[in-house]
Amino acid sequence: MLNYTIRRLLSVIPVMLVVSVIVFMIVHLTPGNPAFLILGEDSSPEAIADLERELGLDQALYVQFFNWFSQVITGDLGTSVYSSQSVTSLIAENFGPTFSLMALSTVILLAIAIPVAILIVALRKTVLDPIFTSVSLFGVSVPEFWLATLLVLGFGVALPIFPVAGYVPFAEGADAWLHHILLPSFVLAIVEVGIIARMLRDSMLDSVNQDYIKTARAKGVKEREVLMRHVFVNALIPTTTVLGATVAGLLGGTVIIETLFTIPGIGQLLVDSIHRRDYPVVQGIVLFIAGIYVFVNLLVDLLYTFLDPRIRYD
Amino acid sequence: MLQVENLHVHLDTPGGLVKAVDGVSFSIQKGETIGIVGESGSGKSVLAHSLMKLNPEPPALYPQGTIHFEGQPVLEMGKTELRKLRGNDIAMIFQDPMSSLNPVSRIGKQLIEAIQAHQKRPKQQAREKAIELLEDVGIADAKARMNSYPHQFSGGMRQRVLIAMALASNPKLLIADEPTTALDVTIQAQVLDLLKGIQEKYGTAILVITHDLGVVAHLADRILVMYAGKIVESGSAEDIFYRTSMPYTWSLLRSVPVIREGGPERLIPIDGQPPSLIDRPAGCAFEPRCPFARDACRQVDPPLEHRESNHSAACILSSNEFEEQKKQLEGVLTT
Repeated sequence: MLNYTIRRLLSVIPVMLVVSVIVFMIVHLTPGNPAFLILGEDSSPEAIADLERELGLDQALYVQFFNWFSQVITGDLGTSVYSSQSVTSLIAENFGPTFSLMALSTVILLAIAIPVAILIVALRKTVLDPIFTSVSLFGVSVPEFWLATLLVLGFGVALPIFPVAGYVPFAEGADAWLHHILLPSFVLAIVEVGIIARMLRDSMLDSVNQDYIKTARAKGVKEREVLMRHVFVNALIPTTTVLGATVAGLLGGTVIIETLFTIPGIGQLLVDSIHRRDYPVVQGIVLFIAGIYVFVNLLVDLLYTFLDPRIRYD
Repeated sequence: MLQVENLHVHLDTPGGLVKAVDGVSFSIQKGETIGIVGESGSGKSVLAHSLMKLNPEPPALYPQGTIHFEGQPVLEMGKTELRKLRGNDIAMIFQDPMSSLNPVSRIGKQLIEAIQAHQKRPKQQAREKAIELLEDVGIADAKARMNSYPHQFSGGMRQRVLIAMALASNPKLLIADEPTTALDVTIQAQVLDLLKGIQEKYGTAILVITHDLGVVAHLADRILVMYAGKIVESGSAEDIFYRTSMPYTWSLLRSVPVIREGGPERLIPIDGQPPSLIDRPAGCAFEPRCPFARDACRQVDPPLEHRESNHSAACILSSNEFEEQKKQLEGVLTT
């Protein structure tokens, strides 16, 4: 297991190399001169040339990439053009709110999806199942920004229960933190509930027809216990795969949610940095998000060994 | 102990109503071993599952007939009563031991669950009982094996674990649905001996369902031959093997490989397919495949009739007529 973990961590390096090349290309091959965009339309050609030299933009592309990447592997993501702060410290400062959002969303997501799926499977012979299927499809199709706006209008404006914007760190009081972050986390989670509940329901219905479920029933085990001990536990394995991708995907959702609720997280930093043409920060954040994806997937793979004794990596 | 009267089980499928069990009656006495033999699709598994109402509903329907276990009507039982019947009075082992155990749960846990489903024993006691059961079915080092997962056992060992699980509450009837089909030949004999041993030790009645005549010959006191949802012949093993009274059983016996002195004899398959159980033709269901068929067979579906002592058969031909015709046909076939 330890061997496997180390091997997997090492395999992150080539993945990140590929990601780095792509990130670098996207940023640098986008039309427009960064120095020109940073300095504005009225700047002199001399000033632009000076800035290009300062940023290393006058060098060949592969030299620029090599310089950037050799910094990256030492953990140095460069310096912000806008604030002159190091990109790593900017990400560290802004990660708290994003992490809060992701963690609370995951909790909300599971707290809704798991009971719903179990209930639907228990009542699978009733009309509830086709209703659920349609509602979950609707849930998956709803755009986050639309639902967020609707909920802000509902619970921020019409019924002012929650603040419509802003963020309070956890360290400054758990209730204030929760009060600010509950609505955005809910929006972030609710869009994914459909996918996870649907996946869990489908996996459970697959499991219901397995031979070992017949064995459990033939033993005279209560239907509720059959469902929880046998059907649910077996359905967790395929669901975890999807959950891993979904949790990592929540990071993408935070970009929209943080902007809408003005939460000072990674997503907002990314959007602001794009507006400011702060390329080192944009590159750093995209690389960081890619890193989280890889890390979450590693966690999921390790989680399998706990869920399914047939899976052993060593 | 168990009485089945004129049982009909239908499966409501998108393709139509499948009459899987079509008017079956039989009974099982205490400590008896009964074999049900038939081809795939003859309805034998559906019949076995019906005895503890284990067929998934839908699609299964029970439009007609009764099943009584010790006087209690099984088909009318509610959830709680059924739960008390299953595993406690009637236990079942299934065809495929590879998939019949929960892959993510330890063997010990699954055994303890079976014990605690019907007996209020504290965990430690249930654990000891589980180890005893594993030892009973011949699993070496039972204590350590309690912590193993199903994939760490071979097929034969898993079937032993399933048998141990079925014995958890000392059932009065053990239904074995194709217990050896998925196993190697050498392992098959071991499992059959185990079942026989259990019966001698505990006096459990066993209903064994199989397509393998060798299995019933080895185990059963009484054999029911099923074809297209009906019992077509029933009797003692001797009746069925040596005093065969109807063409289907005869064809079935001829299709079994027999190793004899003087080299291998050719196997004689039964031509054609079993009939669709959705649109059952009028007349005898075996008529299209029957080498003895005559015009009358297309009109009359012969009922199961008493022939001698406990031997019954469903055929338009009497036992003597069949015997004569059989000799003629065998004469033609051998020359």
